Amino acid sequence: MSYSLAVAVGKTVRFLLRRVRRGGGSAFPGLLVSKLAPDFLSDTISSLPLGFVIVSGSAGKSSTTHTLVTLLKEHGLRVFSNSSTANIQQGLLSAVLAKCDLAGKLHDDIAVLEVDEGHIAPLLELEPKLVVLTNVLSDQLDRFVDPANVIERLAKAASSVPVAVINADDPNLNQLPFRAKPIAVGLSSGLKRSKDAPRYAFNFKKPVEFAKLIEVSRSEGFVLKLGKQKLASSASTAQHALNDALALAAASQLLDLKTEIVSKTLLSKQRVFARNEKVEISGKQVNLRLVQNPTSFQLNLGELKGNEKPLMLMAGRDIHDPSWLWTVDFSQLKKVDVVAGYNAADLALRLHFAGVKVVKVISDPSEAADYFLTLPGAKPTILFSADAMRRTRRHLGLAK
Amino acid sequence: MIKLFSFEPYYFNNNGDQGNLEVVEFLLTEQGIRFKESVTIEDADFVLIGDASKAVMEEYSKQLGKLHKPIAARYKQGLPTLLVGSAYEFFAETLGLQYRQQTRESKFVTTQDGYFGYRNSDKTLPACFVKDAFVATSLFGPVLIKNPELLERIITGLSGKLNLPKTVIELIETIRSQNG
Repeated sequence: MSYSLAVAVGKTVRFLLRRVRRGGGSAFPGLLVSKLAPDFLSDTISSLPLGFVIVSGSAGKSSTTHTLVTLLKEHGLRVFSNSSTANIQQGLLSAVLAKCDLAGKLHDDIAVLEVDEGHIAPLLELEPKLVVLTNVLSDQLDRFVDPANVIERLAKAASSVPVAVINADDPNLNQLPFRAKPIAVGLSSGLKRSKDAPRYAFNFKKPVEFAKLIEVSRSEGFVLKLGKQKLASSASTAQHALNDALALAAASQLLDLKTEIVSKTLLSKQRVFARNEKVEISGKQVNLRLVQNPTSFQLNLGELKGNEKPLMLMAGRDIHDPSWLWTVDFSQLKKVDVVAGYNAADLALRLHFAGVKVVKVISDPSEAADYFLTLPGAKPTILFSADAMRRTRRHLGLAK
Repeated sequence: MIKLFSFEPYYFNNNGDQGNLEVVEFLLTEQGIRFKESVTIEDADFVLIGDASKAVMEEYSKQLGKLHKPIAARYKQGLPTLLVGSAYEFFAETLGLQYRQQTRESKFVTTQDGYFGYRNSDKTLPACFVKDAFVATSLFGPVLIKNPELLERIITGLSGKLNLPKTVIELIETIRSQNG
């Protein structure tokens, strides 16, 4: 079926939107195309010769997707993927629209789709080849109410997709009703007992044990043990090493892996967009860190050395109920130079009662960014939520 | 010595409900009022039972069931207590409240009595049920600091005084005005 008209309209709208608002309007063109051609997404994705893979779960989707895409590309495959900010249906549609030709065709071999855990169901009907499930956290409760509702959604994926690759340490995942025995990865018993072990949504039922295809352990750095091979990973936390293991396990189900390529990829320091990214702004090297939930906030705080100056924390409009900020342990911080974003007051209040000195509170992200850049300090660092990130990047001319 | 009791704080901390205890401890410390953790509810001057997931409520229902009597006694005397979300629902009958299911409400609300917070509930229970220093609520997270009137009831009940700095009051006003 030809989607020329819908694609032409969608691409034109996308082009115009991006001229008006660089880096913005990502979901609207997709919404428009879905109205004009409801089957566009399903037909485009389904037509890829090697099918498509879904990466979902509460956290770690972007890192896992990024590593998996890199592994596949390095092995010579043409891969379509979406960005973390386009992981619900309309955003995904817009991402396809951006890359397809005027006939609506993607010239790729396979798609790796990062999919929000709340929006996985419609894609299951398109029969994905493989699903990668990262974890279930007690997260976004204003949206999901209870982790049980996330588990229910992921259970549908587990029972309908022929191959599931899971983080088998998460009891919420290892008890899912799989269509076939899942491909399991996990931490070594030593790492599981360590303080670095990730925490999952509480589950008191007896976990189901699976033989692990890949086990993550730590000696000098993190090591992924795949059969007799021991592969070093540049991951900085156990959580990130688990994400690497999930990506590697998924890739091993899709192609014959070449050890040298895998080794190079796992040791690559290239980061996902805004995940501990360093960019030059007004002649300064600024460290940007995206924090989307308590886990990523805590992980990013844990990676700070204490010499970050000036330091700005931003909580944007995407945090519908900022209550979860009170589950983050900020006690390692002594001072924050700027607290900013729509929910700046909430974040500043939380920091006050954590004993952290807040120098300035500025709710407007643009004003905050300008002020931040005037502050002295050799290691400017910003931790921001997705909305605050988008607004700040747009203001600073960093929008992609 | 003030004794503070929080029921299984690691598990009963959905939406940062334990932040309320952090606020109480911060203010008591500021005023030089000594406090310690209480291991039993009967002994406690302040009791907090936060919101928990379905899995946690199922696991701890037996232990919670043993708390009906002390909770009823605290309610009767209006003692400093905070029950949040699923804990509020669990003890609703003990407080003489009946409720039924309704369409879920998930947003910031300001009640007729002026209480403010994020409500995420599909029950007809009042968003805030208050008797002296006893507070049961379906407003999640740091409800006490966002409602200085409720915080004052608790702090006064613990022999303290509420005297928040101007900067903190301004932050609370900003939060309430932009979400209320």
